[in-house]
Amino acid sequence: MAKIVTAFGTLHTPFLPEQVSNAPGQLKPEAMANEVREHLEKAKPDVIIVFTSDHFVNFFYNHFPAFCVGVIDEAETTPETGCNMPHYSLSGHRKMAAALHRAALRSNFDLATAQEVKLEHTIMVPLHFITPDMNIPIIPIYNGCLAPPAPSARRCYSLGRMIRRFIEDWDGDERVALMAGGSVSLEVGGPRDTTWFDEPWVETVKGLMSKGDYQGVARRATEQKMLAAGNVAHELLNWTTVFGALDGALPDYLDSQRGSVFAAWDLEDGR
Amino acid sequence: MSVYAIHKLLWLSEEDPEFRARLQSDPDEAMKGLALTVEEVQALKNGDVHTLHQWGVSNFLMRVMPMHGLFGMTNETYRERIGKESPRLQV
Repeated sequence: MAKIVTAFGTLHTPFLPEQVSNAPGQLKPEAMANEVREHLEKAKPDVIIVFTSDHFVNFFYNHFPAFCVGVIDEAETTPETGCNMPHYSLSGHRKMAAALHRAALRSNFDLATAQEVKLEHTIMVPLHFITPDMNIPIIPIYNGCLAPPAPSARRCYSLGRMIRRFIEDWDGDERVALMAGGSVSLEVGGPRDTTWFDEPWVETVKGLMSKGDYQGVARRATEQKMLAAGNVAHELLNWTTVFGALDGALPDYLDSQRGSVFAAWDLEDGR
Repeated sequence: MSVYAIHKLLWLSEEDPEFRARLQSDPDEAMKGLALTVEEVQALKNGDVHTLHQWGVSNFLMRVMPMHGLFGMTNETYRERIGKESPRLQV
């Protein structure tokens, strides 16, 4: 039986790798990412299930799935304007991803699949800091929150619960990490400047997380609330999906920087 | 108005360097292959991001206009023109 041994979440700001490269050891997000990395290294996962939101790299309005799982052997980073970091290749976990897809359909979660994906900053910026050796296979699970309407936070939470059951029922003995990427409050290209963020909302989410009240986050994260927190604040859906798989475990690390939350859960003892 | 063609133009300008170069050098020619309405072409050529925003064009995709200097757009003109209204749900 596989098990979830850790979960973590970070921002995925595309220009952060270059900023850190230009000012090593001086930026808070780098220190926070280092903190998260320590938790991941301690957990020694065999696979990372990555919950992320495609930023018009793999999908466009001609076909933008609400949810999609990457059933891949390998994938590479793709060039993105403003995201300067090394070119990376990563392995996928095709067998487990395919089984997850089948289990999801049987549980009435109609995930699309992609057997070829391009790895974008939403996945690779966190991994650039957290798993710089890029030696842990991933299973990417995308949601379509950048092309509203998006799935509800409660639906994402339920998907996370289903994925926990899948992992526990899976025949293999993989040690599984879960990753949430993205901001809680952020505006990109909209009327409000990127320096703006909804501080009360970030504090609300962080406060509920600190108490393990993840359903409370999912209940409060309505479409209107997330839109008010910024035009890409629906990235919180990546987090609420992970929340559904935590079975109420409290975070072992939790901090925030402006509109972004960093967190890590040590789940070795099966909490 | 679906704004799909506007989204396609903005998306291609990031995804396809060749299209981006054509759009930068000869926008009228580059836009011919897309199903843009007369009003959409005019709003794009005017750099009227406020109107695009009103029409429900994705702000996230619109950010490529100043990023790649499309239609003469700079970060400063983008910020001036988009206005201060509340964000809208995209269509």
